[in-house]
Amino acid sequence: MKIRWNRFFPIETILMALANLRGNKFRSILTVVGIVIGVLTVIVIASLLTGVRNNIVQIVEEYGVNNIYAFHLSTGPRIGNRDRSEYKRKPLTSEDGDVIRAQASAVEDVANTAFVWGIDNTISYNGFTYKQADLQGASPSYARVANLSIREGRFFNDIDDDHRRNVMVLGVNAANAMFPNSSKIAGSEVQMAGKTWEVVGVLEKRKGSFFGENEEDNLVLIPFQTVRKLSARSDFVMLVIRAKTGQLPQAMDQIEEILRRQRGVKFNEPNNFDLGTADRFIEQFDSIFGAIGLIAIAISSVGLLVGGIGVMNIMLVSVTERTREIGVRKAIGARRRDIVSQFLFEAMTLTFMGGLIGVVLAIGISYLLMLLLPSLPASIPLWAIVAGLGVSIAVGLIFGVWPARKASRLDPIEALRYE
Amino acid sequence: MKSVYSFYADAAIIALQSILAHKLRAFLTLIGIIIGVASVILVAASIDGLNSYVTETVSKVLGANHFMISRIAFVGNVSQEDFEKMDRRNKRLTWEDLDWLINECTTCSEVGAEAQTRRDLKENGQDLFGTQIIGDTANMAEITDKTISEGRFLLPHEVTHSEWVCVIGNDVREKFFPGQNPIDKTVKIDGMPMRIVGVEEKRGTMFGNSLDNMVYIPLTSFERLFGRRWTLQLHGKASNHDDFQSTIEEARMSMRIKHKLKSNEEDDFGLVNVEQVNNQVDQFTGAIATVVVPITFISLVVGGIVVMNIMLVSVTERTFEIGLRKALGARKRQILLQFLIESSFLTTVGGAIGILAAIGIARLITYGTGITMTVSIFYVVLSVAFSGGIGIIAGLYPAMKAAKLDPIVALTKN
Repeated sequence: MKIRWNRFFPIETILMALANLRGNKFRSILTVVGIVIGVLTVIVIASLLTGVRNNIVQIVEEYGVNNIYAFHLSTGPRIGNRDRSEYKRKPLTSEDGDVIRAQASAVEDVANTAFVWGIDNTISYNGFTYKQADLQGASPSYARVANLSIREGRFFNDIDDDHRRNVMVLGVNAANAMFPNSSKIAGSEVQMAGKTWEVVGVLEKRKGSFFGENEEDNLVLIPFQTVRKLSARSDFVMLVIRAKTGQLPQAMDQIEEILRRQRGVKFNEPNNFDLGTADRFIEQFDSIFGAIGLIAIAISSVGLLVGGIGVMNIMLVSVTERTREIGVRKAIGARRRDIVSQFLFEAMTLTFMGGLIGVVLAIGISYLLMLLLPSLPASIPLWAIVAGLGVSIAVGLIFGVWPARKASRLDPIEALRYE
Repeated sequence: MKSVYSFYADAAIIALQSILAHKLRAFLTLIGIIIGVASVILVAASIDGLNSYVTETVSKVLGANHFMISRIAFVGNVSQEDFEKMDRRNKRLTWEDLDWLINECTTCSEVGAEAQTRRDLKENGQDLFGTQIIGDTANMAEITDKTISEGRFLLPHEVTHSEWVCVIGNDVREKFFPGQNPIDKTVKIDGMPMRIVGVEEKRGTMFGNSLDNMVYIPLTSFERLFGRRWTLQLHGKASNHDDFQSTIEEARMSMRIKHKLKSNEEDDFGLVNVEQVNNQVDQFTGAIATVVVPITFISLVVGGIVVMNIMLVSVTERTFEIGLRKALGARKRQILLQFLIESSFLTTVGGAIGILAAIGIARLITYGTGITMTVSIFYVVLSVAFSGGIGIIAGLYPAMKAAKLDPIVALTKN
């Protein structure tokens, strides 16, 4: 049995369309350019947006995908100030962390971090001063829980913490600012808040960055208990909890239950604390970013729309010009379907070529952008490429239908007489 | 003279005729330009709308022709060092400074003072968190253009006698007195009952923060309640907009004299005015516009390419006609002009319709959703100029191609 391939994939029609496009080279090129520009804009914009999002995801996930952040105030991006009523809540305590570690079976480890305020965080060493330090207290388990890697020296141990020693671990920015060309930083003594501190370790630079910056690199860590000695007012504690692999949801439930019990929340009251995960941060980010992305892509696809109208226009011209040819084809037995598919495929070939060139150029431009501006994130999403090609074919289909139908409805007798 | 006129008139008539001969084609070409122009104007209008929304909100909060002197004040970002320097140098502003400014700033129409803090209010078991408690002189209502919907604002004698009265914002009213007349009732601030004499009209939110969660009390009562360690914010108002800058300068000079600053010393107080805030807003929306508007212009470029393509088709179709005209003595210039007029006519008409469409849509959106859209003349002119320019550029190549046709070849073709 002979399979009629040309029913599914009309090679002859496509060849004819290609020959026709070659016949009107300049016109075809101009038509294609419209589509190319449209597809190009959409994909470049999409790749910039995706790049920004990937950076955020990378930063969030670098802290650990199995981590849960417990804090007494709501966290994450928001518009406007926090609801003032939240400030009535009492902060979490390290005891809450101990209870979670002891009672939650799905939890691997818990680290306490404390925000430090009320002291001058200027660090000075040998004439250098560093003012941008993001000073935080952290328990010894923090390095493991938050995936910190140590470039030099060590992290705090339990002895540092228990004895409330004046030791600190520097983030890479602080280390570079104060020790510009020293290779051995650990063991140095720096001054902060009128006390002498021993630098026991230096953190590795975080891999993820947002426009070349990562807040984490500004960190300067001191032992959790030392914060208590230094500034009793700094009682805002965030618990960083690592769930066992694959048990994040169970861990969430257990922590919620334990914290509600610890904080005496009545059964009909909502949580007076906040549990954040990497996924939730990304979700919150997406809910804001998605709207921006939608608007940006909508604006940039106007060009594609205009390009599509150009295709329709040219196809109409093409139909008028080839009235006689259509008449001949019809006279020797071409059906309506054949004429429609001829012009539809011609339009789709045109726009598909535009889409293809647009995608290739967009990839080129995105790489160029990444090369020229390394801090500007760009990453070409596969869906954008597929969508770019798909949309360009669809544009040909949508804007080709009318000219094609117009051609197929021509009366062969009239068409043959057409001058 | 007549020949020059008829030369252009003929060219224009021929151009028009050829457009009318292919109505559908012309229409489709127009649509490209219309969409391009309309999208440029609409996007610009929504950015400008955002700008004027913020500016309006700012002036609603701050009042027109209003400036403020306080211990530390700045607009935008300031470096840590500068801030610390200000923090060390700048002195507290006192009642003495206020009296001085009232006497010395002759062009100020009003000078008042304010101090503020936040408190949580509690009334009949209801909580209202983070209410701004603002101590005001009686003229602050005029300086910051407050609208009082019920009752009145604070009176001068209430300020001099530090009476326990207050004017409440709409949030306070809705929380504690829903559906009641709050006048002559009391709210407690730090346990001290305050008689309500007025309610401020609802002001809405700015950047997600409510502007109605306020209680205004006499500045003297504020100091009785919270102590006298507060630094005052001095607020001044210029009598009209033209004198605004000179009034600010005068206020600055008199403050410098009061603080005995030498000519080479910096101000030891901060001075901000409404216009600085507006400039800051302009900078922000300007940054958005420089990114977004060029993207919309891309669609206009694509529209231009469509025009060029159609003009090329038109030239090809009319090869015979061009040959004939040339054989009858038409010069290159005339052929060139004929096609240029055709293409720029197309784009100009497209541009005009685009503007109308954009204005219509902007009105519709403003009417339907309440989002402010401001169609600015600048972008209208820009997009018309751009679309007209596109018409000429896109028409130039096809027109030149037509003008260069050899009449013999053209006539024998087809």
